[in-house]
Amino acid sequence: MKAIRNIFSVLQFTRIFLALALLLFCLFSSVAHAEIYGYIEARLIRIEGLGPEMPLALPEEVKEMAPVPFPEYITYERFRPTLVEEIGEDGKISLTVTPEIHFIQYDGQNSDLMETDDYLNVERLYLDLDAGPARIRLGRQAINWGSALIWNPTDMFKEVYLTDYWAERKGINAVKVYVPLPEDFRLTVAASTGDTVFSDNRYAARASLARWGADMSVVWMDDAANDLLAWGVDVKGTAVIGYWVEAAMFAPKNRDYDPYYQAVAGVDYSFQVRDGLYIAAQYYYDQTGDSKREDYKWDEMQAGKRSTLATHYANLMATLSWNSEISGTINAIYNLDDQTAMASPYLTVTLGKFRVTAGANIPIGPEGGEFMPHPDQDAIGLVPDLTYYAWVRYYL
Amino acid sequence: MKKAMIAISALTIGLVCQAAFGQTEEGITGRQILEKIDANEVTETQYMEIEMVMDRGGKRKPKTSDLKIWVKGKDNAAIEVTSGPDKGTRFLRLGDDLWIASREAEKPMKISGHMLRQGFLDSDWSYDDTTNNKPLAERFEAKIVGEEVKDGKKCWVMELKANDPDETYALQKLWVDQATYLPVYQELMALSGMLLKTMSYEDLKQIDGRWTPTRMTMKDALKNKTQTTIVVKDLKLDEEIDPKIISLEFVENVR
Repeated sequence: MKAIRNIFSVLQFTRIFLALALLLFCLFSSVAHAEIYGYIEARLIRIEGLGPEMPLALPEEVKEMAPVPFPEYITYERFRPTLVEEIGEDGKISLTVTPEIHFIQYDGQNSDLMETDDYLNVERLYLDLDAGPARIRLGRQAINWGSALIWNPTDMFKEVYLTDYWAERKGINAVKVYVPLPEDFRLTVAASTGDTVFSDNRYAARASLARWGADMSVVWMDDAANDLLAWGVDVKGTAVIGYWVEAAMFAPKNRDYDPYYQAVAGVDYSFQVRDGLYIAAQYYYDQTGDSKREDYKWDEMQAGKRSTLATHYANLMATLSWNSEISGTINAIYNLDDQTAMASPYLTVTLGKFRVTAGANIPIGPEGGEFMPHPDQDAIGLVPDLTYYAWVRYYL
Repeated sequence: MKKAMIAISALTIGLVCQAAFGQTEEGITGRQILEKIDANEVTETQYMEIEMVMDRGGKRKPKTSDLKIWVKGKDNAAIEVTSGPDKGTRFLRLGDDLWIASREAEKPMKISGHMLRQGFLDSDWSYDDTTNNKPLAERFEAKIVGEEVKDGKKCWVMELKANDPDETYALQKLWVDQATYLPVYQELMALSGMLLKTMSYEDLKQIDGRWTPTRMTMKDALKNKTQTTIVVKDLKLDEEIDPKIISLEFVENVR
C-alpha cells in the first residue's frame, strides 16, 4: 500500500488526467482524420523575495486570488493541442479547436480545483470561411496587431507580456473579416465581445498598404468596454536597418477626460555572427504613465488595467543563434523615469521535438523604482527580488 | 522563428534551366553563357514540392522539412512548410518585400531587409539565396577562366564579379556543363575572396520537357560539417497559380 501511495504521490492526479486527455485527444483526431499540432509543457518557476506574509495593503480580491503564504516555487503543466478539421472537399471551411489543460502547484501543493476554468480553457474555437474574396474567422480566436516588440499601441485587443512576449494571446470571442483590395491594399474589420459580459464590445478596423518597402496601416477602434475611441498608425520597413513606428491616440467618449497617446519607435539589425546575431532597440512612450514614482498607479497594475507604471521606457533585445539548436537572448526593459530595469536573459535548446528554455528575470537599479519597489513603499508587495525559471516543451 | 526560405534563385538558375542539349559553341563568352542560363528561365510560373534535409554533422540526426513553393515572375514567391517542426509556417516575397507568418505568432510579420542574409529554417540557405532571382547577366560580369571535367561533365569554369558590391556573394566561381548549359558546381565568395558557401547540382531529370537538377546541396564553408540538400519531388511549370497564394492573403490567414 505504501508503494502504491508513493506512486500516486509522484504521478498525482493531475499528471494522470493530463496523460488521459492527451490519449483521448489523439485518438479523436486520428478517427476524425484531423490535423493536430501543439505541445505539452512543464514549467518550474522559482521566486525569491516574496512573503511569507500577505501585504496588508492588498485589496481583498487580490488576497483571495493569491496563495497564502506566497510560494517559493511554482510548477505549471500545460497540454495545448490544436485540431484543424477541413469541412467539405473544397477547403473553404475549416474548424480549429485549441483546448488548454493546465495545472498549477504552489510549493508542490495542488491548487484547489473548484471550477472547470481552474484547469481547462478553450483558447481557440473558430470557423474559417472563404466567402468570395473575403475570409471570415468566427469564434474564439486571437487577434494580434502591430509591428513593434512587446508594446503594440495599435493592437486594439492588446495583451502585454514584459518578460514572456512570445506567449500566445488569450482567446477572445470575435468575428474577423479580411478583405484583400486592389493595389496591395487590404482591410481587416473585427468585432469582439466579453466572455461573460456581452456589453464589453470592441469594434476595430485596420486598413493596410504594402508600398515603398514598408508595410503601413491605419487603425480605428471603438472600445465600448472602456468607453474609448482610438486611432493609430503602424509602419514597418527597411532603410538599411529595419525600423518601425507605432502610435495611437485614445479619446475617452466622456469629454471630461483628455485624450492620451502611446507610441513606440524601434530599429533592428542582424549580423553574420555564428548562426546570426539579432539586435533590436526601441523606445516606448505612454502618456498615461507617471514620471514621478510617488504618482505610480500601483492599484491599476494590480487590477490588470496597466502593465507598466512610468511614461518613458527603453528596450534592448539581443539574440545570438549559436547553431541550429542553441540560442541565447537577453531582453532588458529600462524605466527611463526612475532608472530601474528588468533584465531577462534566457537560453533555449532545441533537440528534435523537445525545446528547453531556462532563464531569469532580474530587477536592476535603485530601490524604490518600478522594478525595484521598496517593501514599505510598494503597496502591491508582489514584485519579487529575483525570478528564475525553466521549462521543457514537447511538440506534438 | 528564425530562419527560412528555399532556393528560388538557385532553383531557377539550376532547376528551371531549359536544357538545350547541343553542341559546344566555340568562342562563346562568359556573358553569353550567363545569358543562356538566364534565357532558360522562361517560365511564368513554377510550383514545386521539395524536401529539405539539413545535415548538422556528427551523430546528430538530420532535420527534414517538406515545402511547397509557388513562384510567379522573377521576384514573387510563396512558400509553405508542410512538415517538420516549422509546419504551417508561410513565407511571402513580393518584389523586395518579405513576410513570414507562423501558427505560433498568429500574425504576419514583415521581415527587415537585413534578415535576407540570415539562414532559412536552420538550413545553410539564406533568405537571399532563396529569393534573389534577378538575371545573372544583369548582376555579374563573367569571364571563362578554364575548362575542367566536373562530376564527369566537361565544364567551363567561370569567374563572376558582381556589378553591385552589396551583392551577398560578390565573387563566384561557376562550373557550367558545356553540353547542357546547366550549372554543375558553384563557389560563392565575399568581395574579399573568402569562400562562404558551395553548391552542387545533381540528379538531372526531364520534367515537363526540361532537364533539371533535382538534388542540390549547399555547404556553408564557415560552419563545420553542415550541409543542406534540397530534393525536388514535384515540379510544374507554367500552370496557373491561385492569385490568393501570391498575395498578402497567403500570410494573413495561416491555419
